Amino acid sequence: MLPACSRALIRSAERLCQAATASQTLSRNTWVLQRVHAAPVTPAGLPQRDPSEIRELERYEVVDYETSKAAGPLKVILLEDVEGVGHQFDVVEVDRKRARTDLLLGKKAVYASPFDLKYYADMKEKMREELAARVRIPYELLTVSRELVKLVVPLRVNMENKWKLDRRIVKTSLRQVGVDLLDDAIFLSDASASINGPNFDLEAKLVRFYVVVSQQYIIPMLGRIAHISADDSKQVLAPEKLKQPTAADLAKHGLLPEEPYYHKSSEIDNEFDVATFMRNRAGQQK
Amino acid sequence: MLSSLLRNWTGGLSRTTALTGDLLVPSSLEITNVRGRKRALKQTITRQQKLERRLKREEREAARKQFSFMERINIRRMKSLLSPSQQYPGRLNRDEEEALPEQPLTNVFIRSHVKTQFYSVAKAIDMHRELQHPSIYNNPKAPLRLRLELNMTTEKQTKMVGSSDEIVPVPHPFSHNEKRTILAFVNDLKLQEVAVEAGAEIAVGQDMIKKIIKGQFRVDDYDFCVAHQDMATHILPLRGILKTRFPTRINGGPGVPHLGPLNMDPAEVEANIGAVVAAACAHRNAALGPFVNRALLMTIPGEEHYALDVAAWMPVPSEEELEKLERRRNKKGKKKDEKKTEGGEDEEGAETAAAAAAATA
Repeated sequence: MLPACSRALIRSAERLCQAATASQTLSRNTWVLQRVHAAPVTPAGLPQRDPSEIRELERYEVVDYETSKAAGPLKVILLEDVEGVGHQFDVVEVDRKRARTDLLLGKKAVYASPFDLKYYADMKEKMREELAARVRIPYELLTVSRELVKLVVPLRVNMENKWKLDRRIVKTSLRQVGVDLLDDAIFLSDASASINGPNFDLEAKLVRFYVVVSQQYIIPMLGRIAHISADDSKQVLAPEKLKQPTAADLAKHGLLPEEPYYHKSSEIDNEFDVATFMRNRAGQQK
Repeated sequence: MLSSLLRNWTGGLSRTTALTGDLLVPSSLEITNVRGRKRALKQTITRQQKLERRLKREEREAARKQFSFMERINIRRMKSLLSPSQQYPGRLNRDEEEALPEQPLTNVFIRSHVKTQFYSVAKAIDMHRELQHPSIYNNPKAPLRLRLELNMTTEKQTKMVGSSDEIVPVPHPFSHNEKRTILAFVNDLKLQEVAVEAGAEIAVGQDMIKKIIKGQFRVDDYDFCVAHQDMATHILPLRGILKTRFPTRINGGPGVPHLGPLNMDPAEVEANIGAVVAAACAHRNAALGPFVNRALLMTIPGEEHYALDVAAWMPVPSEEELEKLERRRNKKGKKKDEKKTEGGEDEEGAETAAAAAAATA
């Protein structure tokens, strides 16, 4: 418990602090001090003694200072879509360092000042139709798709038993490279659905299949047939090292380079013919 | 006149000696000090010494150049991999994945981008079955393996949970081709027969214990030992001979320590896992928190692993145990606090004494 007079001092300091923030000081430089020795209360009716009369009363100790606490996030208005932060004209709170070094310097955002808040809110209202028409892929879908298109999944199939390429094999192979699926969002192209074996001519053949994220985002993926066996004495025929194939590599297997497709609404389910749709799209792009 | 001169002269002499006494002596000391240091620096080394130094330096450099930077890093990593808990698939560190989301945000997700997902036993077995399907790894009867990562810390920082060999009776036994020999200590002849029927290789009584101590009966051939309760006092002298196989309340029970094949009923596997986890948890005070850091279901052979949700089998500490632990911890804390305050008082005392001394001076 602090003595009454020093508490009063802190209160006044707090008021000072508020005044400082209200006047938009650029440096956070407020210090809260208290007297080491409390001054004796002036008896009623007597004049107050000069505070500098006793030197001991001029000694102060630090209670708190502003920079001892982090300043917290910064409120900014985005001027363009920034991945992982928000869309154009959104008012967002971002990490102070990120805002200062990237967003504000790069003119991707401005401080959320009272004037700018009103100015950009009006602009957002004006551009409402244009903004609504813009196709915006959610950030979590983008991050997943970027990881997935990089992969060439080894499709593990047995070298002794009969198999036919299906969802289960693809799903299991995806799980082995660290991609988990909560449902059967895998679609095989017609050519890949007819692949069966064991057939060592197919070893290391590139296969196209599609993964649909959130029933909305179709990601074309590549698999590579790899015959395996639990028996150690059997050799794996092709080296497992996989690199991203070029367009020429794809052409050898009768494939076209494809881009992910974002559907306007989440309605891509088992009845949607993903394979045909994507094949037509790739043909058009070519 | 002469005498006064003499007096003056002697006075002058005494003054000069006083001067030398006060001023010259310390400076001359300084000079010798400096001279000594400089001499050490300038000390010449012989050709032989030079050669030795060069050889040593070259040797050191050669040792450094033997491995590249990455190789040295790898060597260090391999050394740290010696601990079984660090070997594949490693150990779950919850602090490392603190920034990741708890649940996947989309229906397709990269496993390393979310926190470890814990599956039910049935779901994990399902996934293993898909992998071991005839069209893929073709091992539908693969033996299941449970990998438990344990928190071996105890109340004391310097103390760990001791090592132990143990047989866990599982509720749903199955045939496995490994042979385990069990030695049973039972006094009653009828119970001896029961023990042999239950799977013990041989059941021995009180008379055999002396023979074991003398070395006439070898116990090296038996993998595990169990004992009836009435033999508890008689087998005590065998503690040194049996070592970790010595039957105690924690590790004494016949059975088989495997989980079962992959084609077993998931409910049965679940019951077996429950038994193993519960048996493992008996080794540590439940009040200290969960003993199992992560339980992985794997197959033999195979590297694929799925984390199991074993929270249901963790023993719940009773109020009494928690209170006891809290009390013990508080006691330790109090002791430390007392020590600190004592130290503080001492320091304060010293300070006041110093202040008093200064005041008197």
